[in-house]
Amino acid sequence: MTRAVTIIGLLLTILIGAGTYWVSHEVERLEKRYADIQSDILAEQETIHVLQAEWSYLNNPERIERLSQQYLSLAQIDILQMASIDDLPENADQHLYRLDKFGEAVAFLPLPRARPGDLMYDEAADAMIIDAPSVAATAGGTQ
Amino acid sequence: MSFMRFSYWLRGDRPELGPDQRERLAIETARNRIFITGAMFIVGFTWITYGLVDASVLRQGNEPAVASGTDARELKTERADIVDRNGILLATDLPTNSLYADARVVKDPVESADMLLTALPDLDRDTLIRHLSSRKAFVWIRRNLTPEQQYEVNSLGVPGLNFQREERRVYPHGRLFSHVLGFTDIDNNGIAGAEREFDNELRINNGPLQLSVDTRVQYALEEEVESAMETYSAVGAAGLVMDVYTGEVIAMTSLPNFDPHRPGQAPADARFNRSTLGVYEMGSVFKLFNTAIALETGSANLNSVFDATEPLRVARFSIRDYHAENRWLTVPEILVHSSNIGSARMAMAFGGATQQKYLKKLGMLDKPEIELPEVGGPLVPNPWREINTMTIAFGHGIAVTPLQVVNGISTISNGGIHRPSTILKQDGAPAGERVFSRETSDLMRRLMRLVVTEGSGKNAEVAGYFLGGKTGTSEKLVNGRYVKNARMSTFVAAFPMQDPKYVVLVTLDEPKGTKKTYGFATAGWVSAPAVGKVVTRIAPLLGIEPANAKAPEIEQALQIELRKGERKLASF
Repeated sequence: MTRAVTIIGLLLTILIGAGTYWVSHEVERLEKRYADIQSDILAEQETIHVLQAEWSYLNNPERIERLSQQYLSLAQIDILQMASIDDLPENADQHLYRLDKFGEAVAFLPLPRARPGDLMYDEAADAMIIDAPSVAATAGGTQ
Repeated sequence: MSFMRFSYWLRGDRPELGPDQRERLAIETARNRIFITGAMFIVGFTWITYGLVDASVLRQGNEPAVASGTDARELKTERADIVDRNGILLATDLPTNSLYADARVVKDPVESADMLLTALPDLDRDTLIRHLSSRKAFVWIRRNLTPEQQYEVNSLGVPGLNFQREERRVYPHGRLFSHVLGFTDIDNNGIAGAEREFDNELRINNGPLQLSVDTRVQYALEEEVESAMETYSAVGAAGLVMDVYTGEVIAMTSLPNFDPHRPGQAPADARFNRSTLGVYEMGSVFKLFNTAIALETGSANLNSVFDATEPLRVARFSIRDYHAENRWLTVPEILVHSSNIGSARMAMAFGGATQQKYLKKLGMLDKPEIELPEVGGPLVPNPWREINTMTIAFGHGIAVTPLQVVNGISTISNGGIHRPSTILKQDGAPAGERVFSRETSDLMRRLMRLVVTEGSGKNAEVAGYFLGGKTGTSEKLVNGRYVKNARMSTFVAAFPMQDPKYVVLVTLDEPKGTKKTYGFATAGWVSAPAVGKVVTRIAPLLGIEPANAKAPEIEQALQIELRKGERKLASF
């Protein structure tokens, strides 16, 4: 009895000792890893910081303008090229198709509006006033 | 005797009993003691075990699920970043390496210097040798090396040369914000502009400092102002864009500008902020303030007529009109024809004290309110005589900064509320002080629009954005004398006039007329078109929709009658 207790005690002591050692070692290892990750994070943060500065530099409006002139055939939007969604007729859905003389639906092709560049400013300003064509006028009709 | 008894009692011994009994008693006592000691140990160990289990196995309620290191470091630069209103980086600290020498370790100064010159050829040989032979523990050789330079110096392997990690202020947009941001010295101390004004905040570094400026607007403004300056061969120029409701400066430029990375190489003129530090006589732009005061005090209404039939003579001065009409003019006509005589008479109607009171409220008589160290105090007449009242009515005899004019025009057009100018992004409109009534502001909007549709600001017109403003041309004062043909041409405009959102100002310093302007260098010819171009470019960026001129609500908001002024007996 006494011997069994002693042996069990001895085993437990060894077990706990080894366990404690292992845990302590593991903690040390994790701490080292943690410190490594910390310094990696710091290095990454620094890289991000430098990249942010570069991103801002690359976004310099002067550069963007130069690149846009070089690669895009786009010019500054003229005021008369802008229209708001409110300028569109309310019942726009009904204009998507019409029935032709055989009673078949065909795509509705509205007459193109005069392009802003085709008109003088005051004419174009007039053209911006859109009188929505009434449904009655377009429903049966040809354009 | 009594001591002996106590001693027996303490031991549990009882000498009066027989030996057998004493023995049994002693064993029993010993057992009890072992039991008690054992129990105490058990309690102790249980307690420790509980503590151990509690600390390692059980989970506390407030314990975080993931361990957080107390030494979690975060990259913190010496100075905080500066960003624009959309979060675009305007100024930041980047790590660099600087080269220094420990002269005590340097073996052969001359040979080391020659070796070093192969990597950094622009260093001065004599200075370098002197530094390397100084036997000091620390001598700067070159600050902020590029990575290649660092590599080259490093590969030389000269003993005694070391690198010091430093941070250097970098402005990704270069010159674009030079006058707003200012610059720092080599030790990263802010010494001009926002860098200086917010030096402490930037050092504490609680996240980036957000300014009210918008990079895109700034670029559009700077480009247009620069092109106007080149076209008309002006010596300098200033441009400003302000939000009328918050007093935020959306863009601010002063040309010529400088490279904030090398401020020392720029001439003093380039480092001079014409928008906030330069004070100028603004000329006819002041007629707007004058008219607003007259309308506000009730000393004139839109139908009042003023005698502009002949030049006004006061003491030895004579006030003339540039575009003389030589007749009686109504208030709208005085603005449209930019009549000095009419404005002076209007000012006489409300008097010098009222003029001072309102100009004070508009902030024209104090230093401009803005978070920049470069602010110029206005030049104000002292004493304020009658003649001063008359000349100030059309913007002469008082010199203010362009920023103050923009702020004043914001006050007139935003419904009459004065708010200090700011370069910090605001969260909504800050509290302001009412200077003009809503009605006065509404009339002024119509009058400003009229100047662009009918008057001297025609060249600024941009279809769809309804600019309204005023031109101002004044001869430059040099050493107290007016110089002919050296002008300041200013155009200031708010848009869209039916509901003003922004004020734009362009001032050209000494513009010269070109063939295209028929030799004129007045504001209507040189500054007004520049403002028009700026508005065309920035309005879409600022989210202002072009409106239809025929829209009834706009016609109603801007309608004003330009009636010809006649001398009527009834007005006397």
